[in-house]
This record gives sequence, structure tokens and C-alpha cells, in this order.
Amino acid sequence: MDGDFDEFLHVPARLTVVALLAPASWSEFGFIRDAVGTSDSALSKQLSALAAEGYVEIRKRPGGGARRTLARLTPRGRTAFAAHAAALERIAAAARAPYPADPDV
Amino acid sequence: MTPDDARAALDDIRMRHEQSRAEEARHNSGPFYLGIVALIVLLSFASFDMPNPWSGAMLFPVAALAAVLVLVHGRRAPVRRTPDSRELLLGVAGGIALAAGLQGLASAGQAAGVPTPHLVSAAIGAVLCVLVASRPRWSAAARRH
Repeated sequence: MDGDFDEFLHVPARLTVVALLAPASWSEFGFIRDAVGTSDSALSKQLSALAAEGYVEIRKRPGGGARRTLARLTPRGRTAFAAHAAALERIAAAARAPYPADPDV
Repeated sequence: MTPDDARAALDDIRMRHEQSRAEEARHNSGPFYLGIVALIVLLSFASFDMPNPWSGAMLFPVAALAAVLVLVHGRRAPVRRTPDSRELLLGVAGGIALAAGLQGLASAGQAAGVPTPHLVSAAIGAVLCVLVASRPRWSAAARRH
């Protein structure tokens, strides 16, 4: 397995959340929940796991009459995600690469 | 992890990136933002037709509208992103092109004897702002269908 491959990040529910957060500076909890198509509690669980690992920062702030929860990737999370995506690219590219010529044949 | 699994994960990552960007574009081209931008263009240009001190005083409502725009975006946007240098450059170039186009239109109006040439060109500019800024929504709607 590629050294940059992150088993923790590769859990589909987590990878989806991180992929949504990657292009943004901050994303709202409601948007992530609707985009992933999951429940509040399931998303909270994934975000808490990502935050505990230091990949995601969560912030609660007032807005629009109710408290809004915002999430973003930390620099550590961004680095881990970029490395994981690069590892996936290498794994996918390995299948396309031609087999090296066997000198004994 | 097979190459097919890796490819499927990469496809999902790309799709989620696109989803995030589409949500940002959808929110930023909402009627509230379009209305404010159109008003800013209208007031800024219409001020050239006003006598002093009213032309200078128009700076205050324009600044207030810009502040409202930034404040509301900060509080309501579901996806926030800092534009990269290329996007900033494109925005500045677009603003300069719009101002030059409107000034050209106002000069033509003045030559044709229009009493408030800047107001007329600003009204055209405001409509253009709404049309151009609505494009991401049309594209998103087209993609959905």
C-alpha cells in the first residue's frame, strides 16, 4: 500500500466530508449534511472524529436567528487530504502503466 | 485497494469539489446579492449626473451597500472561499471593462443629447450585472437537467 494512503481518511463518509470542505475556507454544517445526504447525528459523529484527529476545525457562531455550525479543514487536514488524493492517483495510475519489459524473455 | 476503487474514490472527490463550488456560485448569484451589486453600479454611475455635493455624497450609500454585502455574505453563505489571485485579477479586469463600457455609453448618450447619460448607462450596467451574475445559476440549472 502507498505510504501516503490514509486509512482513517479513506472511510467513505469521512472522505466525502473532507472532499466537500477542501475547496472552501469555511462550510456550513447544513450544507455538508444536505450534500452528503446524511443525518445531523451521523455528520456530527464524523466531524467530531475528524476534529479529534486534528483534520477539521469546528466553530459555532450566531447567525440568522440560530447558532450556525461551521467547519473547515485545518492545515494538517489539508496536507493529509492532498497526500491521500495523490496516493489514490498513483494507485489508479499503476493500473494504466504498461508492464516493464522482462529482460529474461 | 484496487485501481478501480482508487478511481471511484477520485471521481467522488471531484464530484464533491464541484458540489461545493456550485453551492458557492448558487448562493453568490442569489437575488439579494444581484440586487445589491446592481444598486452599487447604478448609484456609483448615476452620481456623475448629480450636482455637488450630492455626487460626492453618493459615496456613503455605495460604501454602506458594499458593507452590507460583505456582512451578509459572512453570516449567511453556506460555503465561503477566498478567491485565488487569478479570480481576483479577473474580477478587477471585469470591473474595469464594465466601467469603461459604461463611460463609453454615457459619452455617446451625452453626444446624443440625453439629459442624464450616466444614469441611463448605469441602468444598462445594472441590468448587465444581473444578467452576467445570473449565468452560474443558469449553468447549474442546465447541469441539473
